[in-house]
Amino acid sequence: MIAIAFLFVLLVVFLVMAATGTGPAVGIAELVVLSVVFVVFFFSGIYVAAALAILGLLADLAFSSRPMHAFIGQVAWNASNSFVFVAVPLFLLMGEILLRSGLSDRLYRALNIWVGSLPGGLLHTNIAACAVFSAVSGSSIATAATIGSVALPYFGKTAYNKRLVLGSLAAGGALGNLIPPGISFIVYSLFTDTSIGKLYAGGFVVGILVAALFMVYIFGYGLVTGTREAVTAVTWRQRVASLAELAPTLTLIFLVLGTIYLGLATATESAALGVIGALALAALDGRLSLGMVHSSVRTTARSTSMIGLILIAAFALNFVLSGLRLPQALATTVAGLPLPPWATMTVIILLYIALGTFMDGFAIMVTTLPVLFPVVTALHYDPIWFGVIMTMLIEIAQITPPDGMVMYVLQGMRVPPGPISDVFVGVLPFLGIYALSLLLVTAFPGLVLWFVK
Amino acid sequence: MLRLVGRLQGAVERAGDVMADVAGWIYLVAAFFIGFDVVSRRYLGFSSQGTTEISGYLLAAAITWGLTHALSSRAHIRVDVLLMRMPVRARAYLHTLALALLTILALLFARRAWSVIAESWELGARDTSALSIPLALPQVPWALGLTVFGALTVLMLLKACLLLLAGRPDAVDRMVASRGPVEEAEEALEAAGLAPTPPPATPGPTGSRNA
Repeated sequence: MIAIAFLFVLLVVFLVMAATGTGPAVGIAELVVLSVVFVVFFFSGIYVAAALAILGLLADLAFSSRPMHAFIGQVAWNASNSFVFVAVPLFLLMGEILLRSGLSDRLYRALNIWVGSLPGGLLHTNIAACAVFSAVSGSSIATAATIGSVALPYFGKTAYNKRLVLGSLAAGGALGNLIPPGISFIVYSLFTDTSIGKLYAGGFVVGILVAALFMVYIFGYGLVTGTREAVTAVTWRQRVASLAELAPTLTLIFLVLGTIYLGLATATESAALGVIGALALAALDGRLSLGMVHSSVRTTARSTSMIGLILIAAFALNFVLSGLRLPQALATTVAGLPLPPWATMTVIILLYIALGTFMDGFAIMVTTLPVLFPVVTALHYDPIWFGVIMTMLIEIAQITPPDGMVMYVLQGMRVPPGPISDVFVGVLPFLGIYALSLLLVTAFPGLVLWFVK
Repeated sequence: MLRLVGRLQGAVERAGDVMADVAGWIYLVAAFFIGFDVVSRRYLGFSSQGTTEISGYLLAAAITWGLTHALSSRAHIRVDVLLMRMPVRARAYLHTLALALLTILALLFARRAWSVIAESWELGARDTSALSIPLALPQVPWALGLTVFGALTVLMLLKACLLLLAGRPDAVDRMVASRGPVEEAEEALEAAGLAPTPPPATPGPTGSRNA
């Protein structure tokens, strides 16, 4: 409800601005009408894709001097056969295969040998395993489901605070998109013509930062409460042996990320190699079967079409809006406001947090980027930096009660079951750390950009 | 009437399921195709000369071929956080409105897709790859997927209206309401090889999703 109130206030501000004639009034008035229609559409449960396309159609009929809907077929075709977008189903497929392979089990055991002896014990392993798995998975849900399924049995009857166990796994899952290869970076790059490689570099640095801060928190918690594993002596022989267990994951990480950075492959090509690699690893573990592949490809088909329909509709709307020069008008207006850029950026970030409490992260991105991206660039913010901020916001939405998908995935795996509020409470400290990282990256864009450049 | 529509809907949904399976396997084929091209280009010194274009066409067809299945499995994204708090009657009417708008979208795209093909055919448009494929060729399966999707939206809309007339809003709700986060989560768990635990005592707000 806070979210809705915030959106309402924002709308009123726009209306007041239009009434007082700040900036080019025409563009703003049209924008307000469109925003109102948009808000009504959204809250009555219209399909996001239909809302976008029909909004485009209305804008076209109402404001455009030439019928742009005649070109919508061509726009849709161009959006459907983009080679960059091919990376989305391929990374999704890779995640689905890995979810069904035995990879995560070895990963968890091997990482536990390295970090499980620290104060905080297995909680560190949760974060580390999620972070490493994120480097082969582009989806937060897949990461939480995969690592959660192997991690939870380890906690069985132990004295670990079960809320923190669930919270750490949810938080770790929320690294899935931020640590490359993330699906949201690909979509961002499609809309903004930014380099996927640079976005991934930015996501990598920030992902490591967030994971490190999570572990610092767990370390402190472990020291204060005395939470640690009973047997902490790990021999170097065990450590070396564990590397063999890590080898398949590291190979896959190289196949996917290494090939991008060495310039051997584009994101789409590395995703294709990743799918083949994931199949090979599943075969090595004896998990490869026709049924397993079939259910992986079917889920991939459904998710891709779900994303694809919205993407096509968003491109159609974008086509009409840019034809009307609305985003440009808004960008000029906002850039001309007597507000410092950081204030505008703060409003944008708050808007995303508000939307994130009730909207799908991916839907938020495609609905807002066409309008907000020109504003962000007009304010001279770095597009790569904004892509990282956006992905962080989407990830934060995944672990913000009461609606984040990742939390429900973990809730569904608990044995014995308990109230969902356990997950909500457990994730709170991590949510705070995520917000702190967001603040850090916003205040010091150099954190992202030194590595990208 | 209701029965006839229901039967037609069932038939289109079954076709959609098969098409989604084909779409899924297309992605796998595309992965091997692209993967092979990367390796052969670097180490064997040859390439298909049109990998970028061909995988784009495969994607275009696969996206539209999966749409119908995504609709029948109630996976298309909606913002229904308020909707799901309303009484079932109001919900059913809003579901029907949502379907009506989706139908407009689907028919608009399907109609425009066939015009794109007609245009490509008349102009004899070919892509810029070395293979110089006539564009109308890959556009046909793409438009076909949109058309089947359009057919399902029409049938579902018709069925929703008939059900409303028959005073059965609950049936509309069952047919159209989005999969809640709990349902979504269960699927991910099944895939990971875990039996989903029974529903929690205090379920979260249902309906809204955050994938």
